[in-house]
Amino acid sequence: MGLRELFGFKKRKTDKAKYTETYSRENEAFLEKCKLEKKKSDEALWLLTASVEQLSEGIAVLDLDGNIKFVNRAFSEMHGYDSKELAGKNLSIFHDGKQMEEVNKANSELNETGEFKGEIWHKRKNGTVFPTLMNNALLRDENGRVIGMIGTAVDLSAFKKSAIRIKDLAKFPAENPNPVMRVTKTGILLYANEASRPVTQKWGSEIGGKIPDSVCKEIKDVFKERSNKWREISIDGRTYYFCFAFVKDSDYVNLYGYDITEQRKTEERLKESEKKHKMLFEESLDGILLADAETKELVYVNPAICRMLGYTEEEITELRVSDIHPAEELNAVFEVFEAQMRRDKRLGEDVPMLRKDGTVFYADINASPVELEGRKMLLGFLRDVTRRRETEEALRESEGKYRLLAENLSDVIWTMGLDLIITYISPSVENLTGLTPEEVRKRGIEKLLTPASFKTAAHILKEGIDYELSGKAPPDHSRTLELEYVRKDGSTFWAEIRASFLRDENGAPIGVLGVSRDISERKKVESAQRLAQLGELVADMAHEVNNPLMIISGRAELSLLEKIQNKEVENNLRIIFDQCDRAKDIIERLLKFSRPSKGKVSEVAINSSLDCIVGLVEHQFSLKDIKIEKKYASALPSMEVDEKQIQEVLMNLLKNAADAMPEGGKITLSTRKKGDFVRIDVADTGKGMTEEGLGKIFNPFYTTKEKGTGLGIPVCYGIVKDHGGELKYSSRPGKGTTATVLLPIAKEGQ
Amino acid sequence: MKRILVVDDEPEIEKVLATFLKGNGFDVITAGGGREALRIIESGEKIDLMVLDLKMPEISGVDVLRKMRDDGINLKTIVLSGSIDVHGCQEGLWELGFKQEEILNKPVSLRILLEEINKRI
Repeated sequence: MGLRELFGFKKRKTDKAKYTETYSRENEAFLEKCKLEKKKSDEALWLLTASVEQLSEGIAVLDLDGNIKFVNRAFSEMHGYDSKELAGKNLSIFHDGKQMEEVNKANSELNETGEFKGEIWHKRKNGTVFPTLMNNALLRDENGRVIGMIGTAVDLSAFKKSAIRIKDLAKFPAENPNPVMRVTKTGILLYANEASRPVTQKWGSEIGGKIPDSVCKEIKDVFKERSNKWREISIDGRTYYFCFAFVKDSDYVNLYGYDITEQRKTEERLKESEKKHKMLFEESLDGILLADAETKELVYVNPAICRMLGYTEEEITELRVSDIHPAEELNAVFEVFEAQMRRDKRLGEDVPMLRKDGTVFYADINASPVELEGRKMLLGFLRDVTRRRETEEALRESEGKYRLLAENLSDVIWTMGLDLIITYISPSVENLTGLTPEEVRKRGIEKLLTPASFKTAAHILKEGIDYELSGKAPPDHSRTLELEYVRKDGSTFWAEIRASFLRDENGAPIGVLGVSRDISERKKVESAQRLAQLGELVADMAHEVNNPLMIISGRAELSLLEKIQNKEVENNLRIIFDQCDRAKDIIERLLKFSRPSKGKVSEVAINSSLDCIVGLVEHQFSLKDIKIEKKYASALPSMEVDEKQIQEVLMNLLKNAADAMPEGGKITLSTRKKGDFVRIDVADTGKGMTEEGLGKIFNPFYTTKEKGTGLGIPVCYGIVKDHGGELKYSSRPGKGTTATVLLPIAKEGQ
Repeated sequence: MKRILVVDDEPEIEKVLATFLKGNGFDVITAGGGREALRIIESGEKIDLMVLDLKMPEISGVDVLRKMRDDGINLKTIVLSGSIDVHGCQEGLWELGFKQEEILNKPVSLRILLEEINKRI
């Protein structure tokens, strides 16, 4: 209770306020009434229009000039037009010159009597004509003034057809293709034409004889009711429709039979097919529904859809389209509905459906517009696709997951066809190669790998396919291999690849799925480990070998200290002693190879350092007919290297070059700056090497020389690598070999 | 006559070295391992120079040199190594103040060994 009420104050209204209140109340009531009236009349009008539309008789309203103001659906259809096409058209489109006389006569009768009833031929849209029974009347306004005409039309063509049939029946009996008989009131057969023979034979009746009692009943009825009777009579698989015709002032009836066997058969077939269709409808697992295009009422549904939606058939036919879809999706659903009505679309995919219990499922609705009982409807076939949708979603989800994985792994995942064309490559390829997946696909695998690795890859793929074809391959076998990739900048790296076949549903390979991992780091570690192991092994071995060598050489040397008479023996001992020294040398190199450690580092000017070595070997080389040509770049930056080691390397390369030219030749020694490196090339004009040979020169103990140790190049490689440089070889058989050393330039201030 | 101690676990090497050095006018005593070498050294016997193998079982050449350093024994030594790289021997020798030049690698020419000995005594 408020304060005002507590102290007895009453809320008072001014007169003006009171008046306004009353006025507005009345006003509101009036408006309310108007709305109600309007609604009622709207409803009445709608009912009227709907009924007129539903009539099977055609109805047309014309103005005084004969222009069409309104036609109902039946009228338009009877004339072969769409309902909207006829509005505003003139009556004359239904007539041509031949019928004008009749039409004029009808019009004058209408004007005189205010009414016309009779048969008039009308022309359809397609030009054909048909008889109509017209019933026309003048339209007047409330003052009685004529404002137009209203007419109903009944299509008589069907009647005309039966009239022809009747005419047929009325042919002279002997010529009539149908049975014609005359039977007295008492059932005596007076006449039967030729076509009646199957009937009379069955009856066992002859002219002058009696017909069966079963038929007599109709004859009695004819006389009693003084009108025609109809009856179906089946004889030997044929069906006749008999008319027992009453003949005025006579004591007999005429029987006109009409063979309706074919018609019956058609009807049977029709019934059968109707049954079939009904069965299809009833038994179909797909939901079938028929919805009114305008009102969206569900007109027909099959049991399947009832099961899907959880309603009974009675319940569901009370519903509209809007009741079987979730409210928030209705706009989208109706859009599909209208598109299907316009035939713009047939299949509505993943349409959400609302069950009676409020749960939702998804259906594909295949629908097209139909016309039934004069109503435009949409006939739809529904298939529950919830499972498919779920599967699809699960698939999408898992695909998404895998994609996420693929795109976030540092390993590169890829697929390619058996034609070696890359079909997918994960983005991580960019971290490894500097190439985007798009660029990689454009380049193709041939340019992504070094030529040797590409060859290996192609070979292994072929091997894999052959293995598959042999039938000995276990399912899902995979292969691990190491291939050398080329980066965008031309540098290379080693990757480990694990690859297996992609298969179709029959298990036949259709492509390759692989994962590539950069193993350059691992390779480095591996090679370091290998070297360390090798170092230890070599050191152990050196000790084991050097002791016996010491004994051999010591014994030989001791023997040589004696006076030896036999020169041959003395020579042998000297050779033993010398060869021990050679063996020691091999072991020393081995030790260096396994432990190439940079010793004293100083700033070195490479050109003068080279000259120093050339000076050492020049004379020796010239004896073998080998010339050394110098192509030094001037003003080369100095390098921080262990000069002794680098000289050993260059000495080795020069000796190798000379050894490659037993017949003599030329060694070109060139230096130049290349980026942050100084490049030294030692090129000979010797016999060159095959690709296979080139691949092995860095392997310890590989040698082509009779007295080689196979350790020179590996030791050089170790030293150059230790300086942060590169040692490369290029060669072609018959074209000579070039050894290239890249050494980093000393950084300023270091 | 100068006395040289030859230490090597390999009897054949010991024999070669002893024969050679005796032939060149040295008094030679031998030890077949580190333990025996230390016993001789610690006995206070007069020795002018030691030719020492590095890799020996139980007590290695480096162990002998360490023990001598710890005991404050000063004895001229020529290290004769099969492979100085073995098992950190090189680091051990550097630690003891040996230089690369003071180490002879097997197989060494007896002539060169003699030169090195003559340089020292």
